[in-house]
Amino acid sequence: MSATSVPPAIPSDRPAPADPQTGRLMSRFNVAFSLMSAIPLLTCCYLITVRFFSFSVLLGANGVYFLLALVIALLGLLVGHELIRDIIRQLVEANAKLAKLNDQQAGFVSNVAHEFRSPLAVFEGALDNLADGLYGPLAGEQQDPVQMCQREVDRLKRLVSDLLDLSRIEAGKLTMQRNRLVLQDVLRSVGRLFEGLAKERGLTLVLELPAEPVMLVGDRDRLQQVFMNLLANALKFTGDGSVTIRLRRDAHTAEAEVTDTGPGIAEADLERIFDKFERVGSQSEEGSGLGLPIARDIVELHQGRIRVESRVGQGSRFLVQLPISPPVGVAGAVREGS
Amino acid sequence: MRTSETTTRQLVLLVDDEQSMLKVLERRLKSWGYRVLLADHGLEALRLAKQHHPDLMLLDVMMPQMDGLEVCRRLRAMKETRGIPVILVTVKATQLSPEEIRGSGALKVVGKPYESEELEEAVKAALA
Repeated sequence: MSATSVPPAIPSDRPAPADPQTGRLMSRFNVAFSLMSAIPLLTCCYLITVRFFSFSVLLGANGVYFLLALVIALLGLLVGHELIRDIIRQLVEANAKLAKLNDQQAGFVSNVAHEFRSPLAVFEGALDNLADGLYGPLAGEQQDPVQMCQREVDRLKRLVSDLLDLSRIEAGKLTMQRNRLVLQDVLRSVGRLFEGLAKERGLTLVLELPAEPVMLVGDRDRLQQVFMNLLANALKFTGDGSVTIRLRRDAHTAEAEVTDTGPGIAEADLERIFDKFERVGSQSEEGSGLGLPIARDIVELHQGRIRVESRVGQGSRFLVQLPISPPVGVAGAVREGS
Repeated sequence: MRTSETTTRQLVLLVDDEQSMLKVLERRLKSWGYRVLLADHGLEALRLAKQHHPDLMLLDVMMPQMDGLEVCRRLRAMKETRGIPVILVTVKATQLSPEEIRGSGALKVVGKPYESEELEEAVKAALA
């Protein structure tokens, strides 16, 4: 029943805790157990010997019974203590095993994704050479299959880099740059990237951005990826009408939204739309099902929040909230989170 | 596509452990009018670099035995190859740390699969 709070310093028969976290867990358990055992025991003794009777009841045979009972109680506590410690040890081990498995899985995904890239590079290089006529000009009908293959290779490329991103995010290995950036610039450049596609699909792409720059600290490329994913989805699922990117701010938060006039999302699907590999709506649309989970992870790595509002038949609205950086010139305050 | 002076065409050394990748790159670079040398492993790359002193190297990173970064180190260690510009073409483009890239002395890192336009830009900038 020792309530040692500094386990590593005491050499004992106990195996040294594997890591500081396990050590802390064990010492907290020891304290809790001591409180649970010592206090009731002392209370009982007090009640028996002082309150209800007096020390005199312990003279003679009663004293022997009392001591015997005390010893049994203490033994029971000791055994119980060991049992619970053992259970905690097993749980810690199981947890470590799971964490390792998770790491291995992330490593495996990352390896496989890289292995995919080498053959993809040959595919893409050869197809581009073919399409550019480096092996002789392509006759009319020959261009179709080449373009088809190019599109599919592009799709595979995106899937592979999404998988890599996700495995890196889950392994905690994706680090965000800390650029000081103007959110309008990011949204404008995403808008430009999708202008062509919007026109091709007969959709109006609207940008409603405030004139005053909304500054924040974050990873420019990754934030761009977030809005590219949102915009790509919006354009993909919207048959006709428009897609709008809107930005507004209050004192601490910037809120960017991507709104479409598409078919909307059923209420049951809203829950799982940010989950990995979940794709709602028509399954014929291409996509890895990783765009939204990646977007969510990136936003959360910026201490932001992402959510969706939608009703079937009334379009969808994806909202991204990001903390605004402190005023320029406050050195060191850049690190400040939300 | 190119004018008469074939002898002055710039020489590019392509290094990749995959033959098919080499073939694809070779065709692409020839279409831009460069002369091309191929090496399918690090030691061969070093030997050719020393012997022919190319104007540019396109170097894969993940190769068995000697990886691209090691090839760079050895290039920089030899007087006659020290000045050869290198572009790394690798599937691990996003995973190379800034220190590794700086340490390799490479001009640029191009991700693999590469976009032809990006590669063209990088190659032309290096040989300008």
